[in-house]
Amino acid sequence: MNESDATIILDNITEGVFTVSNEWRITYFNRAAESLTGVPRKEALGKMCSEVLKANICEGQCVLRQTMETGTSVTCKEIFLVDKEGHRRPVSISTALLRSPDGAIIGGVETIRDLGEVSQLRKELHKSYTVHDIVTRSSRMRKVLNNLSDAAETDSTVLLCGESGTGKELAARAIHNLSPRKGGPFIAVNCASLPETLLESELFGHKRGAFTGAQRNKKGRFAQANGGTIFLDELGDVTPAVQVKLLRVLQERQYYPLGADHPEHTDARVVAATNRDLEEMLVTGEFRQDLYYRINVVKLTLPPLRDRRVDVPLLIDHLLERFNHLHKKDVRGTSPDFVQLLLDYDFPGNIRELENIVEHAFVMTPGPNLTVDDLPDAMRPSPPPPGLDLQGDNPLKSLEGRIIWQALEETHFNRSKAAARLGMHKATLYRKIHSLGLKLPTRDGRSQ
Amino acid sequence: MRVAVAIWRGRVSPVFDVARQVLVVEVPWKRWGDWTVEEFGERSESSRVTRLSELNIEFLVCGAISSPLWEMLIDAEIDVQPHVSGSLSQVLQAVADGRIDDPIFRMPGCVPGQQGRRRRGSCTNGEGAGRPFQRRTRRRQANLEIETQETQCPDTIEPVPPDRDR
Repeated sequence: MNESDATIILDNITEGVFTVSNEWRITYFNRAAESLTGVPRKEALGKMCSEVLKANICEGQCVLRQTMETGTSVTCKEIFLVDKEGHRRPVSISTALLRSPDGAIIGGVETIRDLGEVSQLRKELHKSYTVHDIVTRSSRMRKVLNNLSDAAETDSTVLLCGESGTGKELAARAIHNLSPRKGGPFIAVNCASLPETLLESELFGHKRGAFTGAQRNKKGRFAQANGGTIFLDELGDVTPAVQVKLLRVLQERQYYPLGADHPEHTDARVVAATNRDLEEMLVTGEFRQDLYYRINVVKLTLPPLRDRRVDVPLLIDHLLERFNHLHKKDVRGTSPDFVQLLLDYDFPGNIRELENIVEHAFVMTPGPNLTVDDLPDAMRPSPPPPGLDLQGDNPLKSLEGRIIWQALEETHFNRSKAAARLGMHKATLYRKIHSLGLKLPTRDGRSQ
Repeated sequence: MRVAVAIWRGRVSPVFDVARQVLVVEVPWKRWGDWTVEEFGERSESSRVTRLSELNIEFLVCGAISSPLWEMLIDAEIDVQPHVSGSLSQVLQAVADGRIDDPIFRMPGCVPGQQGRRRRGSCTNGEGAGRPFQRRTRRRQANLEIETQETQCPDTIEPVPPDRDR
């Protein structure tokens, strides 16, 4: 096999391959390496490999250096590259020595395998999210993330507030994965999903014979979370009796499993979340004040999606990438009106709702791009009023036409009632209908 | 103005997220070599930003950087010139001359005009990020030219122990 055959073969494999000289300059760079690093071959050749690869291990833990120094190959070392877009791209690398025919070391070879898909699946499986998985450009959200990173480094109790679907559990997992406890367990408990007696047993465990059916000792979630983090979701929904027990855990780091004579110690960090207004619950007496002050050490409020609309296009891109990995499809993008429609929507269900909408469109789309036709029926825009020119360049006029048409439809085309509903004189309504060119049906509200 | 440059083996560190050393220099400098090296070790991202703020850094020159970290630096009001590569002496001189956004200092794959979408964290945004500093630097250009005439950079400087370049 000659050199050009080898080049053709190397250019047609999915793994990136590059070689370096003894001076760490790139001497060969295949097509897959171009795609993985985002660096064209002609720019990479002759450059320092660390400045082409931009990997987290270049400084200090370079495996190619290790191979060149010890002669030992390294296989499947998982690292990340920082790509052109500033994303951390997970890859796995393997290294080997390059020798001349006389056996002298003339450099090294490194192969790179994309782990994007594997990493995505692992995240789905192990929920190992960090702040890098929280997609945002909103200044309000970035401030929350900065505070989250700072809070993660301490052992303080964190209270996460925000509407349903704003990503409180993701934030809790990010706190855990950024904290010194990341090697320990992350135990999530939804306090609203269990009745009081079961919740108590679930949180603190029970001893054999504690109640009918308790045939063996059971470890509670606090015991399982030892050395890690316990995430108490929907904390605003726990009963006063459980609130008292939680207060004891937070104050003394001790609790009694059901039926136990002696307290047990806990070393779990507590992160709690609620979508309810705890301060209002303090006023009504539904939530204990002393527990609130124990929980409210670091309070982070996640903004609803309608207050961070700037993130909607970013989140759509992120979700598309994720669904492409999970569903093995290749949906490349979205049409502008698809994004615009979602930008105009208020998302009462926040990111969870956006995720569902994009997944629906992703499954339904027949083409390479998501369009408004792929949206759920309730999201699709209503057809324009007959006669209204939407192609014109006056969006205000178009909006006015839609509002007038809606009022007319709601009043069964009774002009007087529609004018009253719109807060305008009947004559003004007639003038606007005429100037907008709306074509009204022959039957109207008066003829009913 | 206080400037920080992420360094590694006499060059700009390839990835700021894991850079272990940062050179801190007041621009314009009174004397070549008048800088300190701050050890970052394995600091977390947020503590990197906090430390740079404590050091009153106004401008950071670095190699690749992940977008969340860049966003945090922007929130801390630190201008960033990312995707810079080159030897420290040349980069420092370019910082002093206000030409650090020159394409010759761009990392491979980050040459302006080659990327599609502009996004914070992407190569092309680096051009924009450098502008405020460039403006500020140029305002000081007259003084700087007089001072740097006498303190031209040597070909190499080694603020960290010399080692084989990678």
